[in-house]
Amino acid sequence: MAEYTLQTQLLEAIACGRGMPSLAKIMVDFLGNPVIITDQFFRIVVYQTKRGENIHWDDFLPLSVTQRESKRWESKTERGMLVTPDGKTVPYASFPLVRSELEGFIVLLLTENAWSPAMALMLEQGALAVLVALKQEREIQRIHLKYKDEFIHDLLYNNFENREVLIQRGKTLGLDFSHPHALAVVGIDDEESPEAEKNLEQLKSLLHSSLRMHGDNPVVTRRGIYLIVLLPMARQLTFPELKRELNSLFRLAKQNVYNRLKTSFSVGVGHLYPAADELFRSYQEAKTALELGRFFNKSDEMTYFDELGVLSLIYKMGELELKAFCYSLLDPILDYDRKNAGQLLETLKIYFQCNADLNTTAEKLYVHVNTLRYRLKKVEELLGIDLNNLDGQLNLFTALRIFSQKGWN
Amino acid sequence: MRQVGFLVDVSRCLGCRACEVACKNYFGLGETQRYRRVSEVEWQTEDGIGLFYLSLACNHCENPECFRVCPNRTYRKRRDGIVVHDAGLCDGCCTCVKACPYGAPQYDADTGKVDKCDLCVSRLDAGLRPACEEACTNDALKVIFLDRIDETGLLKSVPTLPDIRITRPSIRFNPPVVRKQWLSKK
Repeated sequence: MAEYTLQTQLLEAIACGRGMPSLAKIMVDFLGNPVIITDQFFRIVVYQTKRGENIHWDDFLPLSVTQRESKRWESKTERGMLVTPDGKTVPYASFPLVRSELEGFIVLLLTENAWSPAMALMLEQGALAVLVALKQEREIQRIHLKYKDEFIHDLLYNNFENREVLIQRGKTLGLDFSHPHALAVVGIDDEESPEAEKNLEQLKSLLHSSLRMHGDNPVVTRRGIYLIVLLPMARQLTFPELKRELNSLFRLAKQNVYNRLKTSFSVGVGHLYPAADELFRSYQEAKTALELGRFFNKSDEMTYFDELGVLSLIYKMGELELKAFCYSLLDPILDYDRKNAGQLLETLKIYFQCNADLNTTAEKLYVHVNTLRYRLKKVEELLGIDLNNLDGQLNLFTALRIFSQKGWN
Repeated sequence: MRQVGFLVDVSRCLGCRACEVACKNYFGLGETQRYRRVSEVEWQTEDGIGLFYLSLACNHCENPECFRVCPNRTYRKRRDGIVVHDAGLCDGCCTCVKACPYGAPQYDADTGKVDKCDLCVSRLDAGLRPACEEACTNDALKVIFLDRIDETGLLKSVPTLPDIRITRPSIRFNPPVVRKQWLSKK
């Protein structure tokens, strides 16, 4: 009867329009133990406890779930020990909120009453109501985000009258655009994967939480296949300062994301403009940096538009000029590879990727250093250049980069 | 994210240039300006060299270069993805003309300003079709919502179209069809 009453009370609370904290409170009263409701990545949505006792959790519970593992979450209670941020060990029982896919967890901290089969039954009965409330809350968040997204669109596409209007509109959504903002565009590396859409949504949510842990009020929003990250800066930073700050911020964020999501992502960062009404330029620059940074199919990269240098000039040139330049330089190598089923082009790509370090290149290619030396000598012979000469290196590097970027073969 | 764009059925385009003329008339363009241009494209097929006509205007790119480089902030992208240009703010520096890989912004020597196709926004907002689409007698040109269509079987690029990876133009193509009378064996 108790479990029926729990479900009924939860449903009544939902019907009265009460939110997740109220539902968690009802569960605490019934189960006699603190309750935490999380999303599918164990990010805490609500933590409810009896008066007096409190543990200060971070944004995420120190539990992990990967996508591969999520297949096995089928309405089964799992029990174990949880280490709190202040080092205490707490026994817990978690129940997954699953319908067509994993949506979250109810985690019961067994600090007051020991685990019993009756608790398991009550958890199972309450799960459906909690799931409904969780989905309802997400829908409200989605609508709120829609308004925010429209504002971000206007910001990124220069769709506002003047800077004052922009700052004013930002304020109504809790965003302060009177300070400079760094803008980064994030793209998952495997864009073509059938899981890409789902991964991007999950990445958005994880990235937002991770950046919030280490930065001040970041905005993470989605436009097509990219995530856009806006990071408020207290003052106008120089480029080295900006780079240091963002590198450390994204390193921490990546650690957090990669522990939970099995997909890598690359980041492009635009120039830091002093005023928010120039952010639309930064956005375009960040996208260009991201695309050009995916050089030689590298992944998990962070590219700054300010560092693109000569490449930011080259990508604007006509296709015919670029083709003529690349093929006039690389034709002998391409011919040789074609006729002899060789790997000179690939060897050169890796050679430059490894900053012309022979040992690392040989290791990456799984060949002996002498084999690599022989191949590079062959390249020098075919092209009539000296690979130790900076001129030759620069031309070859540029041609290879364009070649890879354009996907020619 | 809403994005309006063009669907060009190159297999249906006859190269009659009705779209080009309709656009020129609608915007009252000068002698040297053509917001929409039809060009003849030769492409290599297994049987020989094929031919099709390519009608191009502004592609209202996802990442418009014109918009990024303009020093006077004359460009903006509407919520439906259409890139519009405010000629009133333009000083005719032509930075956008050089930056656009598709040659969409055009300099008007008479006014000393640049302007480009705005997908006939005033017509679209009034529930009408753009002038070029309406003029096409063979249904080769259509305005589409890229976020709503099924892109199966459509191409994002065709021969001679510049690299689309940076700007991501909002245009899709039906694949060109080889017609025997247009084949020349070389």
